[in-house]
Amino acid sequence: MPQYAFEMSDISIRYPHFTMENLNLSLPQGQVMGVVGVNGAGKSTMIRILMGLVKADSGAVKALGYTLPEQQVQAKYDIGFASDDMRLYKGQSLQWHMDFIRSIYPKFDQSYAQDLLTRFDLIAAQKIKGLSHGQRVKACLLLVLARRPKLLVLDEPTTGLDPIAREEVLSELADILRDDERSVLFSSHNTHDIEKLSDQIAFLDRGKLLSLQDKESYLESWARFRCQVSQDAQDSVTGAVSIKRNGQLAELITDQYTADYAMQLHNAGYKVLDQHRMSLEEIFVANVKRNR
Amino acid sequence: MSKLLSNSVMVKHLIIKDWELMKKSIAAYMGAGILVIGLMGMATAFTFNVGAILMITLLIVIGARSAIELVVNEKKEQTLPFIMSLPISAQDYALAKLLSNLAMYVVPWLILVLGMLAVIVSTPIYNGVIPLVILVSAFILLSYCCYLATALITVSEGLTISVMIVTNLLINGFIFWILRMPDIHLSLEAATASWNATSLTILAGEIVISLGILLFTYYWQKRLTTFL
Repeated sequence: MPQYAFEMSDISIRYPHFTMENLNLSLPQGQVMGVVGVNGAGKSTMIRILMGLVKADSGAVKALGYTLPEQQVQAKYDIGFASDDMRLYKGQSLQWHMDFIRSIYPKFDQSYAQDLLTRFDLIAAQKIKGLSHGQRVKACLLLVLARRPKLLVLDEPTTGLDPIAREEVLSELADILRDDERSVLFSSHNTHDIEKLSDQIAFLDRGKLLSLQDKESYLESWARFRCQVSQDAQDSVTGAVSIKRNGQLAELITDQYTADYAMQLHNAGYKVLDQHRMSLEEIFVANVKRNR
Repeated sequence: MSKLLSNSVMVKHLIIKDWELMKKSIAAYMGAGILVIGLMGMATAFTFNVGAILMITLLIVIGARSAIELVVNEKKEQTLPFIMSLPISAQDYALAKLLSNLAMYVVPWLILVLGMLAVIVSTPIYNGVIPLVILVSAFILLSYCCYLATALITVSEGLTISVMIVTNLLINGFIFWILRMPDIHLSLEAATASWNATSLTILAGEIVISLGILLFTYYWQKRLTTFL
């Protein structure tokens, strides 16, 4: 029986302009899960429910064996959470924040924090108000990572970063995530970031989980074909997610790609002119469009 | 109560954190308070009255600053998600905010009021003004309880500032109201403080309403199950 870092079962929550219904999501321990969704898809709501910050109307949440939100105090000693809307006290230095966090978390690793200061090119004595946005994000990550959490939850950690800062943060995260013991959930609307770091990828849209697979499964099962359509071609083809016709030509997307799918298309009246694999971003867009 | 205090270690951490954020401001305000008390201690009618106005202003500023800085700005400046990520519940957070705000206002308030009373009893100023000073100071404390409760319950900058404006405007009305009472104004120039049924009733009313507001806030916060 697999051990889960978290399990969300039948989660429902209703706001005036947003509804999440019966969301089921779980992450095996030691795995990295990326959640992709457009703005307003429900990523932050889902993460806030997972962190016990918002109470769902119905459903159950367990993280590291604790029931949330009831046992959030115990759980949060082992969960590190950072979000793009998280700010530090601008009148205080990073060292002040490090001391504050160290006074709370017995497992705070001072030498690791010093190491992260160097890797993130941060100065502990500098006041937060003097930091750039990228430096503030790195400072938040430092404070979270130095706690050595068993579960790391990052809500849009790279949003608003310039390309250099984004690359630096992603490469440090990739390095840090090699720890097999640590489970990670992170959300982004940027599929490139998710693709770089995740073992499993969840697509979320309008409060619904559209799909959850490992990265390779997505990339192997989705493909795009450009076809010439014969007179007697069928209107639908098994496994086709979408068919866009333009006269005698058609663009077809499938999520059930196999080596003989081109033959299957041929038999349905679609002569394949060319085919190519899809990027995660293209797969995400096709997935969202199919479900809207 | 036992459930609310179950995470007392973290509540203590949050109160110390708030003290760290406010200590420089409080030190500056206390310095200003000492200067004002010194001005009042010159014991002329002019310096005492100017000092009293400055002291009322100072007590209002200290309260407004702590409520805005420690409660409203936590949401406005988005430091709340950082605090929410710590091992605390919404109840722990609310309790810590209530206690830290009270401590950071009531202690300076008490020191400044006692300082004023010390000046009055140790200089030729009529001790008969003592009930008036205490009643006005208690009204300022009551005003603080009103906008602290608003800040804690609504976390709205607009509403909190509105309540601040209304309660601060009421201070003038309150002073005029009690000065029109014979039991108050006839004893202002007495050699000793004269507590009578009127002044004691007003003081009791202020204390009861202040405590009622704080208890209501406490029980309102106790119902919180989530931060947002």
